[in-house]
This record gives sequence, C-alpha cells and structure tokens, in this order.
Amino acid sequence: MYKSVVMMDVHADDIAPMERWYYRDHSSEIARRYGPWLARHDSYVALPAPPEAKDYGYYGFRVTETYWHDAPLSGPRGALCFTPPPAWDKVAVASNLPPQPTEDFLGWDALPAERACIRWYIMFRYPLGVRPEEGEDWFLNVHAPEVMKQPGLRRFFSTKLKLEPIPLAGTWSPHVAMATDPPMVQFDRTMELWYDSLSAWKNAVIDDPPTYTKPEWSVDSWYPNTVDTYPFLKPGADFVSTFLLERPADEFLRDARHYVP
Amino acid sequence: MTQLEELTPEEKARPYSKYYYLPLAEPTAELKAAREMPPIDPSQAQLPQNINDFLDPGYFEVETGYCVLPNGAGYLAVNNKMPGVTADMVNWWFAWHSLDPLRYKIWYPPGHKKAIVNARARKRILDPSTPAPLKFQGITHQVVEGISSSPPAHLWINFLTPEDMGFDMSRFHSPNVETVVGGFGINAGTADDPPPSFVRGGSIMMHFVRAIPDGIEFRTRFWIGYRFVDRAPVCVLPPGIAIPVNIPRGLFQHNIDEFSNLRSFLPQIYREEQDNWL
Repeated sequence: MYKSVVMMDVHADDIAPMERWYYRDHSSEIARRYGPWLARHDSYVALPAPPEAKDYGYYGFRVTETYWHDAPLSGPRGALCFTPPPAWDKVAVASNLPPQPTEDFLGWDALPAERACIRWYIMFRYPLGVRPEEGEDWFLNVHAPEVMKQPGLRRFFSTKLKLEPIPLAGTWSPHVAMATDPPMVQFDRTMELWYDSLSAWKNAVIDDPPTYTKPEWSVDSWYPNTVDTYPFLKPGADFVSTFLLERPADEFLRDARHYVP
Repeated sequence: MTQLEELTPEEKARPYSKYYYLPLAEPTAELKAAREMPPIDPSQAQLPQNINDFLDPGYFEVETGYCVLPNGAGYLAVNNKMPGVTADMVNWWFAWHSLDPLRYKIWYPPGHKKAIVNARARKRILDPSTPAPLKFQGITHQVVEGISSSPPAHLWINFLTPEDMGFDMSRFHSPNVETVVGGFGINAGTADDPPPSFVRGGSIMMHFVRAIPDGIEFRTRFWIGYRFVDRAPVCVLPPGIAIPVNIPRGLFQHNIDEFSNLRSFLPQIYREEQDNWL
C-alpha cells in the first residue's frame, strides 16, 4: 500500500469553477474508475489562514489524500481521458508516501477526546546542494527536537517519501493544453504539526518560537536561494503548507454515487 | 567553436592559466569516430544495479556508446585510454580542481564555467590528514557546465564513496580497480533562480579507473534519470517518461571531448601543482 497527496491552491476567481470541476468531474472519475485499487480517497478543505501564513508557502484550496492498495497502470486502459480543470493553478504532489508516518515525534499518547486540533500540513524538500543524508541528519537530530519545544504544539509527525515515482492513474487528453508549469513532485518529506487553534499556531511559530539552530545551508552563501529564518526552507519552492481540520470534508469512496462514463 | 570568455587579471596571474589557452586536444582516433556513432542496442548497456560486474576482469561487449534504456533512462559509456596518467593523478585532480573555478575552466575551456565546494568541504580538502579519495568522495561540487550547444546548466554533483555506490569492497582493489570517481548529480537547469515548480532530475555518474600497461583507462558510465538511495540505484523518472536520445548523445560527445583534453595535460599539471592546493 502507498499514499499520495495532492495539495492545491487556486486563484480567488477560479474557486467556483474549480470546486464544480473537483466534485462533478475529477473526484468522481478517480473514485469510479480506480475504486478497485483504492483503499481511501479523502478530501480536506483548506482553512482560511492568518495573513502570516503566506510566508510559509500557504496553499489555500484543498488537500486530497489517497491510499492505494496497488498502482493501476497509467494510460487510458479502457477509460476515457480525465476532464481537464477550468484552470491550472498551483499543485504540489507527493506521489509515493508510505501509508503511515515514518517518525512520530510528539503527542501520540493523547486521548482522542482530550481536545480538537487544527493541522498544519506541510510538504518540504531540502535546498539544492544539500546532500540527502545531511538534510535528514539536520531534520531528525537537530530541527525536530527544537520544533518539539514550540509552545502549544500538540502533535508532530513526519513521513519520508520514497523517490521511486508511482505511475499516475489514467491520462489527460492529448488535445487539451496542459499546465506550462508542472507541479512539484520531488519533495523529501511531509509533516504535520497540530495546534489548538490558528492563534495557537501563530503564537508557536511567529510570536513566541523556540530558538532554532540554523542549518549550514542558511548561513553559507554557497547554497543558492536559501533563507536564514524558520523554517529555513524557501517558502513556495522548498516548503508549502496549508491548514486542515481533523476530519475530511469528503470520503469519496463512501459518500457519493457517481455518474461517470 | 565557442568564443572563450576572457579571464580576469587575477586568473591570468595564476601559473596554471596557461592551460586555458592551449588548443583542445583531439580524442583518440577510435573515440573521434565514436563521437558520430548511432545509438547502441540497449541490450548492450550495463545497468547500475550490476555495478559490481565492473570489478570483473576483461571488457563488456560495448565499452563506448549511448542509448535510451527500455525504462526511459539515458545511458552512455566511454572507454578512454590515458597513457601516462595514474590513479593518484585522478584522485588529486578531482579534489584540487574544486578549490578554484579557473581549475575547472582549464579542464575544458569551451564548456566549463565553474566548480566550487562549500566552506566545510574546502576545509576537509585542505586538511593534510584527509586521505586523497576522501577529498572528493562524500563532497558536493556545485558546477556550471555547458554541454553541446545548450546554455550552461547548474549541476550539483554528489560524489560518493565506492561503498555508497554499492561496490563489493572485498573485491574493490587492484587490479580490479584503481579508483572510482562517481556519485549522482542533480541538474537544476539553466536558470540562476530555478522556479518553484522545478523538478530535480538526477543522473548517476561513474568513472571506473583501471590500470593498463602504460597508464589507466577511464570506463565512464552515465545513467540519466537515476539517483543513489541508500547505496542502491533508483530510477526517478516518472513512468512513461523517456529521456530524449539527444541528451545521452550530447553528454557522450561532451565526455569524450572533456576527458580527451584532460588526459593531454593531467600528468604535466600534476607535476607542477600537486602540492599547491591554495
């Protein structure tokens, strides 16, 4: 089994047609055609974020989490093409995740009934020039222990991606112009940090953060296009994030009947 | 021929700047002819998961050629004989040239723009107690290099130890091998500030150096679309995507050209500069 995550951002003027396309066409086509391979196919609506969230690569539309028993072969394979979206806005993709987090740092011992949380949902990759083993060493042995000192942090876990790309199910029409700017597909990790509220997030991340050790890439100009402030990964390029509730807005395999040829 | 960029007065003052102005050395007749060859049959290519086959004596059926593999990855192989060159010179060169961009430029003036390492790596290279291979193995070079007629690309080359490339170290010794220069590179494209959506392509590179009676032979391989992960090669191409054949062809021709030039002056510059690290 593996998991794929698609994080979407849309221009404000595209929200209505994108919402219609997402429900009427895209999620239905995925669920109906690939149901035999799917274990779960859920969607979360991004929460309205504080203005400061834009400094952390905020994506404001949706996150789709899909768990696959197995990968269907790519290509038409008896199905029609996917209906194209009305706009090609920003999409961040993690296509080959283990189905469970690889590291569970904090908060697993809380009882479900203790509190409700908002989830800061993040995908990131190490900057150009950072060797994989050096990035991992910083994250696991330096950064994660410091993140755990954020005041009000309730939950913290992360998943390391596998590099082997998984074939994307289905196919887009060869007669439709695709996005000229392809999605990011080679993140190194996802992670989730949970807080009681967006105000608690702002306090933990912006107003009263712990002291962080700067990674080598943020202080050595040999590394291009890096930043020297938390999270030490360039927003929108190497670090994208959104805010979600605990429960998905939709469980497409369970909640809907589809009319899809 | 590309017009060479003018060196700065500081660069001109360095003793090894003379190599920048030398005429490019010709490849051997065999490699000169190979530059124009059509793609080989992919069944004649070696795969990176069989890297230990290189430790066997003898040669593969095809030691020089290029193609696109059935999984879409690009492949190229070059066997470049280097009379008068030793493995010590090769180990020294891959450390020494990373300390000054001019040293990378003299290697192949038409296409090489710069190769630099970070401050930590520089300290390690300059430490006399660092064994020669570890002055490049385990270190990343940031490279700007033009291949064929393409604009110069920004590359990050992660050099690895033979262990981290998956070699059987019980067999990693002379005469099976003298040294290996290899790892995987990340191509960041031609822009100084790659766009956020940039997909990081990877290539495994290997220069497998073996002794021959009058010097060494470079048995070079590139697997374009692969990276090493936990000591194993992984094809990171999205399924259904194939590297266009002009990519391995261009790199094949460039590899012949750049290493033919390097072999022409490496023994001399090693005699002159081997102890001059700064």
